[in-house]
Amino acid sequence: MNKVLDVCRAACQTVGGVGDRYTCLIRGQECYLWLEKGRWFVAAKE
Amino acid sequence: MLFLNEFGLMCKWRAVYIERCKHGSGASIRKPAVVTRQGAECLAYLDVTGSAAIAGDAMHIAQEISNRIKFELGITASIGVADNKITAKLGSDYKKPDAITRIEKDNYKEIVYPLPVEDLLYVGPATKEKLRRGGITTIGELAEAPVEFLLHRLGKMGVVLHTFATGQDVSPVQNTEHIPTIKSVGNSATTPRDLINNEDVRLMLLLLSESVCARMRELASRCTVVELYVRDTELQSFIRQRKLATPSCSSTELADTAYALFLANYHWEKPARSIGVRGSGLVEAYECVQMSLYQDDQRRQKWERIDAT
Repeated sequence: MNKVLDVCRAACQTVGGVGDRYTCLIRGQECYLWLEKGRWFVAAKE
Repeated sequence: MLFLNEFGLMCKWRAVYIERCKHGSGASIRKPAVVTRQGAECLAYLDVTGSAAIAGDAMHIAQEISNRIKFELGITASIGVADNKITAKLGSDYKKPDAITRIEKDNYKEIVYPLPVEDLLYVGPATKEKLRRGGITTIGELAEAPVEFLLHRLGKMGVVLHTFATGQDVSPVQNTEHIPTIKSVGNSATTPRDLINNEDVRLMLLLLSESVCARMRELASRCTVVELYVRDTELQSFIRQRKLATPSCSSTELADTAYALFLANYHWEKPARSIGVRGSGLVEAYECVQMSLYQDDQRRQKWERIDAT
């Protein structure tokens, strides 16, 4: 992971789940990581 | 995950009415709200009069709240924007689950008048039936009915409902911390098996009265009216009440009064399924009490002391 760009409270619109959403830069690509009640998750890609 | 969320927003001294789910975060409504009142876990009124200069007009605020709820919580909200609470609630019910409805003077008649009268707050099945018998089925008909007629039909609630139907409710939005004064204390229970004789009922009434009186003592109050609630196995229920000669928080006296009410009103056509006792017309326990020439006040005080231990 190169950098955390933003942290905000948000819902994952694709798979459900609500928590703190970390916008991260990983190998030059932006992606979201969620922290919900102490557990991390990412949205599954289609 | 989808919970129905609702909002209402009032404009003249604009208030927003919001319903949100249990899991909803208060954070999303804190910013534009001036005063909020949560009627239940999933709804709230917001008075946004003072926020207009900072956050824009009521519709703008409603849109922002709706967007943020969707973004932060992943659930939808329906919002009503109006100049009073009753109309705001109507607005939030008008379109669901994800909508903002503005009802103000210019479109009030057009939107509200054709709605069925039971959509109005405080119009339940009984009132609806009474109004229907009077030829009133829509909110418009209620608004145009003469106040004297409603007063005659429904008592003072008729006047209140007329005010609601014409969109002239002026009750302020209460702060979230506002705790309403307790008007009555009651307890009821559905028994594990149906009650089949007077002895069963007497036992239950004593049990319920004890918990009711314990709560009254915690509130340092006594009740002046005893209310009995009975529901039979066909789920038909009734409530009867009796005024006490002097305020009391003695469980024996409450149970005795409730039992007398029961004997006078229940004829054992069916077994009873649930039963309840309520003490209403609460007065402070240390308020002066008119002494009686005939009643045994010392005996009452003794019983109350026994209860308290």
